[in-house]
Amino acid sequence: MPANVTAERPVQAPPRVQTPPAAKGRWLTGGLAIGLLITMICSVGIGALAIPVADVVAILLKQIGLETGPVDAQQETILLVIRLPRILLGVLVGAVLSMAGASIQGLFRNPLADPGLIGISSGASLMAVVMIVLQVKLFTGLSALSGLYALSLAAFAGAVGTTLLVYFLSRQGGRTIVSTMLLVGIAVNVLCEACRGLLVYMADDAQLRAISFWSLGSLGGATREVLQVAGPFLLAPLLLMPRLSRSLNAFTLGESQAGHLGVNVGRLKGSVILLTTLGVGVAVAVSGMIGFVGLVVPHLIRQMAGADNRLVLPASGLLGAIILTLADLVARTLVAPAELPIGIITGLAGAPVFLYILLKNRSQTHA
Amino acid sequence: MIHAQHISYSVGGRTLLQPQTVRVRAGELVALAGANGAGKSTLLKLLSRDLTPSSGTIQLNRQDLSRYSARDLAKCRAVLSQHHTLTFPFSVYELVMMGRYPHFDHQPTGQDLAVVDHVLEQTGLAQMTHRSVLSLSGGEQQRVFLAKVMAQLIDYHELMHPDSDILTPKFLLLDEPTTGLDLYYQHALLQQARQLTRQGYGVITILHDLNLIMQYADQVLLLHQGQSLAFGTPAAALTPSSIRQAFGLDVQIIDQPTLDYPIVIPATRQPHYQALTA
Repeated sequence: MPANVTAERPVQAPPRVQTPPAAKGRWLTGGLAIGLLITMICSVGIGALAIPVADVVAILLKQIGLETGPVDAQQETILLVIRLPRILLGVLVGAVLSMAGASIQGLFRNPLADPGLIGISSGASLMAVVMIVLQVKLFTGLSALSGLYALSLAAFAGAVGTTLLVYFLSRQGGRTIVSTMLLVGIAVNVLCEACRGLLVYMADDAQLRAISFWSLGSLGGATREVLQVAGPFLLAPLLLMPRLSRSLNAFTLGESQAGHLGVNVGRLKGSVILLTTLGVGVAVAVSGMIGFVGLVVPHLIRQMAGADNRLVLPASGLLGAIILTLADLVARTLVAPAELPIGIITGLAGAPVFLYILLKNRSQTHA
Repeated sequence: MIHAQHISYSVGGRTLLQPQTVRVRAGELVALAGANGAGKSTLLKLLSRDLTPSSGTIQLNRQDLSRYSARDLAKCRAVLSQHHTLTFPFSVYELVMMGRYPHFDHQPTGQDLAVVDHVLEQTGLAQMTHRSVLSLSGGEQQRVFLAKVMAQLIDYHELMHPDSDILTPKFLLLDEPTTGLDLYYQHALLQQARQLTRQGYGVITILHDLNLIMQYADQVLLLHQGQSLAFGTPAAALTPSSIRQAFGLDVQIIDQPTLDYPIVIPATRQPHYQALTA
């Protein structure tokens, strides 16, 4: 027998200073949840007609049957019909974009991935432009049928269509090859962009303006009806995606290692793509293109709390909801009574934050 | 026991592994040796179910390997891969905890935490549990991944009764586990593997260092161009002639009276060996 090597280099047992990782996570998610609640209550009161926080709370409590005193009928109407649907939609869209971003980054094992990689945004964008430019000639029947929502429905169809195309083109022998999916996604994105460019070329001035506004995103279309229709489709991915976080953690080690840990990798890939397409497709359909949230928010969370998706997914959802609610608040109040497209705000705020993270990481690695 | 009967593997008209029959009992450490491209990794991937054999069958504990659910299989066999691709800053603790994923659904139980703590101390990682795996050296990362596969297999029951045998045989598959490890940890790793075999685990490992095989393996399978050259105890299977056939290198095998295993050293410089070093 060889000399016992552990005797040569003793590994002294350290005092157990194990802060359970779960505790750190509970603080972060708890803090973000409270932050979101405060953000929502404050921003619901801010606007052309200011509603004090106490009145906001009173109106909301009245809805669940707790009368705390008389409420102003005008305030109540504005809050329930105009502000609240918009804020709830912003919360759901922000949460979905961020959580889907984190999931897709896990799927591609790349912290720089984005749902746009699998064609969601370009497909939605192409179909939206098709509707704007060609609807007078081709889609009047369809528009009449689905009323104001034709643009949203078309964008959603475009998102789902391109993603399914990318998904099925990257299957070989019953398996989805993630690296192939990336390349197929690039090709499909280029194709969609080219078609979109052709339509933009054909568009008249009014249509061009409509296209550029749609491309910059807005929550201005939020109504109770929109929230009722889109809400469940946004809520479902938010509830289901965190259930994949353990498998996504294992997946970051590579497909075979995830398989060794008992993860059904085929089902995981399918679930992530399905939920992402559903959530982001609906988000783009109701709010246009809101860039950068899905990329930056998971990054911020990982900077704060590490890479464990059991924390990154829910925390990203909460932080994304806060950020989009705040961005929408700026969008609708900065140049009131007009509105800025929300994509401008997220871009203006998101890009510097992203640059800051990049530069900070660079100085850390070269220190 | 892992019992692979007449398994072969071909892809695109090329046969990477000729029909083999391999039997690994619980309590045994079996080494796979051979030149680059001899089929060692292919064989290991067949045994770990990463690849499906073109012919033949593999049984694990008397049940067909293909009939295991991914999760059940994960509870009785773990694989230490050769390459690790990690792009996210997981901490050492989080990564080792991944080994427990087959055992819990949402939150790790107290038993899972205890197993992870035990393994971290066993592998000398207890001091760096909060560090990002990305910030570690190659050898340290390898130890983290070893800790992960140990956490995957070890039961809480075994922690409580370290001297009794495990209930069902479990198997550890290691693909060149000593890569990047310093001399101390190469031996520490193989001693840990030996310790597991004494508790009733089966270990199958690809090893390039014939001296490590001589020292630690119960059996060695020497592969050459997808075929089995020799199978048996290291002293019987690794002879100057089988090594010459497998690697194209003349070696001397020296019996040292103070050691209970022989030592392998290159004997002469072969013409093509000289060409490589010149």
